[in-house]
Amino acid sequence: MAAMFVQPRQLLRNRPLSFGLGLLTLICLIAIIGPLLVDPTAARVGATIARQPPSPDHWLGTDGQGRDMVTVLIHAMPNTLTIGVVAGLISLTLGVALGLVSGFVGGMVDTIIRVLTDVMMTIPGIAILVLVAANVREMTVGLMAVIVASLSWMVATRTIRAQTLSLRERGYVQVARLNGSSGLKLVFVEVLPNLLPFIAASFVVTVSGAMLATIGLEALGLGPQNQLTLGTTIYWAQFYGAILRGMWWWWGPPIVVISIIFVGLMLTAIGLDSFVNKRLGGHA
Amino acid sequence: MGLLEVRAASVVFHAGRASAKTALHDISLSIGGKTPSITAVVGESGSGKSTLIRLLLGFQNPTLGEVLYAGDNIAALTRGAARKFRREVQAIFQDPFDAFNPFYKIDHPLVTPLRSFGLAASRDEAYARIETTLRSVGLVPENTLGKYPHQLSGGQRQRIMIARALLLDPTVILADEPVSMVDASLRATILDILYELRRDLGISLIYVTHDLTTAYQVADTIVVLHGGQIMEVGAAEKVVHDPRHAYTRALIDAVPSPDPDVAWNLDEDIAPPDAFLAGDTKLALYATEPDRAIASVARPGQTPVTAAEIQRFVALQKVLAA
Amino acid sequence: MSEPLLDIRNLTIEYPTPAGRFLAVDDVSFKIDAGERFGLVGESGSGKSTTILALMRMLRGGIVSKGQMLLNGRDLAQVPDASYRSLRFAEMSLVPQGAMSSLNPVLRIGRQIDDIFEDHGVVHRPKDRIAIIESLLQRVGLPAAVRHRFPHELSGGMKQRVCIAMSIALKPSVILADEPTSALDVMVQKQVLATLGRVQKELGAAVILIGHDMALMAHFVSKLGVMYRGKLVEMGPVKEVFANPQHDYTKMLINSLPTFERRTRAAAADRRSS
Repeated sequence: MAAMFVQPRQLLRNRPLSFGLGLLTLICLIAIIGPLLVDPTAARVGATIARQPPSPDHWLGTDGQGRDMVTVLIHAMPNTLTIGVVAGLISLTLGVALGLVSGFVGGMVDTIIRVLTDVMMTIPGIAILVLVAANVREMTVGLMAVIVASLSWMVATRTIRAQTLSLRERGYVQVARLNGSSGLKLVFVEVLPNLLPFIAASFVVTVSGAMLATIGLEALGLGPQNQLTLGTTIYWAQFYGAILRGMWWWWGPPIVVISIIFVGLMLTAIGLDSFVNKRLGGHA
Repeated sequence: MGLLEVRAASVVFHAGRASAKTALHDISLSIGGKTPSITAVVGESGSGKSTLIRLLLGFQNPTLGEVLYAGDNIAALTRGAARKFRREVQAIFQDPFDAFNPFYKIDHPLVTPLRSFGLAASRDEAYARIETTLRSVGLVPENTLGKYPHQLSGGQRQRIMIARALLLDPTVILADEPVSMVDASLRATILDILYELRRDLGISLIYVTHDLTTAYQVADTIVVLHGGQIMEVGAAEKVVHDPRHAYTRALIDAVPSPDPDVAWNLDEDIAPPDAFLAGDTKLALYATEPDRAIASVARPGQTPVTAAEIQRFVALQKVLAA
Repeated sequence: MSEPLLDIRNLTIEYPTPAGRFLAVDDVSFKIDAGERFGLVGESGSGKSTTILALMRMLRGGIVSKGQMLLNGRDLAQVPDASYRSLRFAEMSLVPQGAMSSLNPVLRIGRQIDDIFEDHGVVHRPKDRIAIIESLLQRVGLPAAVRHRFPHELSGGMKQRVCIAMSIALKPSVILADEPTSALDVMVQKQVLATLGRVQKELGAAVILIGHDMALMAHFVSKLGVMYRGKLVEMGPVKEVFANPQHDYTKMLINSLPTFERRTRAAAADRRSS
């Protein structure tokens, strides 16, 4: 009974979207398959001679602690991606739930949720994140995801709330009421399916925000201590004075990978944006 | 007493504050009852007709007065009575495209009510019922079921909406501008369908529109609404061919006749619509004949009437004449 | 015989679609003299709006594949894009469909009228500017104070009249009005059409009124064209068309007009039998 009016052909014609998704898929493939292809021991401290520039044995050289950079990268990517995606998912679920309820129910419930959202948005997220992260005994990937998520749900809430408010007034919602639907059934059956494009767009934005916050925290040294991530790699590089020592193969590659991820996310967001606008009747 | 009754209802938004706005003032209507009736409510934008529609469907509570269904106040119904009200009082809206959820096939709004109200024991039974009803509004089920709203024409969509309302065995159908977004060629057909609902199925109709000519096509009684108050109410023939209230007259003058030889007087000065309201003054209805009343400022010595009384008289006359 | 002001000859407009070429306008020809009121009536999809957009060179995706559009003998297809900008609103202006939503919501009315003059390089002396705007507003029956208002502070009818004022600012010889009254209440509709008729007469401009309401056409235009699926199926003096419709579609349009004379077939049958 569902229709998304989306033909894969249509999606692919949207260049930013297909290019962005392509980049992200590439990254994800490397992150998933990569760890199976490389020897994890090469990423342990002291695995090999430290501070080696790129060579046929170590394509991206080794870092200040004797880890093979290629292996480090390949193991760091899935962790960073996991934090971003998990944080994004938690944020999104929270945001959609709150936004839907707030927009549909209205009244006092809406006021409370709205005030909460607006107040949380004014709190400087990084400051809180730093505070919490600095006081946690052991930071793990999972914990990071939760902390970051707790401060990125607000934008999704506002977007979904705005769309819900508009969808609530549509004729088919009134017809559904006359058909005996009410409350939750009305929201999930009639409104939610029409929110899917917005939810998809919000997801990309939320994941981007979560990743940014994560990498920021990690680069400050507040990331997971015993797990490799792109941000912590940058932190250690800087901690060991890699820039001063000219070890570009240590701090460079993580930055390149991070950039590719963000370019991919941004293109996807742009592509989705024009797609959503077309559905609203606008021009591409 | 009517099946669906509005008794001295007023709807005031932001009551008690400086920004208080009276959307409806002292409205009394009587729909259905011993004999089914077709009442047209004619009003331009801002007249309060949207608020009246929400009031009649139970989506808006009156600030003063009450709305009754089968004698009970709809704001305080028991669960069973509330479900009965929801099922028996149905509506058709203006925009046949917006009325459908684009995510689902058109089967969705037809199957949902049967399931919600337990009107079919199985999927087969449901579809049998749906197919019969679709045929009764002149549609071919094979050509409409299983399609998405954008694959059908405006006329087909509107007819599906009528079928949806009929599936629930309603007693009252409220039609909000049902033909204004439908092609000219289909208007007469849809108006015929609506008219026959009363004659063949005993369903009372409330036809809300800004177009006096289409209202005249089907109505027994016409209620002219302006600024939240009733300006004139009476038998359709009288209101249209012998209007007594200045606003009704202006409304009729503003409609161009399909005959180019009948003057429309485009060059005459037209009074702005607001001129017909005595500011914020609340008006009362006074009967000029047993089957018509017009609004005026309070007349001491004369007893005001309600639109409901006029409606009941017109309905009674129809029964006696048949 | 003098040359017609606007001469449309065998106009054909196509849209390329995945399913092949779609003929939105199919071999349409008509002439309009100076000061004449011409109506183009048809239902949605009949091609009437497309014809007007082609005249203004505002088609999106559509191409004029055949035919000519001549304004004062000048072939509009030969006019370069840059010159077309000065042609629009100066010789031929448009009151678009949903004109009320084509006003910029964040600019005051006076400023938006200013913009029209500015866009066309018409410079007024500062002290004349306000007087000109106010007189334009008064000509459409609006108080001069409207120039300080924002669009959302005006009613639908007032916004429509502002759009009419904007369309006559540069004294065009042709006004194209695309469904100017479709979203308005019946009393406001009469007021807006009266305004359009009056300013048109004062200017001596020709009007092409696009619509789907035959009853409105009957009282506003002198010549009427009926469009159906891209073709011009009937054309003639309006009284002629009403008295002797030739094409079935025209007959259907006239017969389906609700009047105060007839009731629905079913209601009339009931009344006869009771």
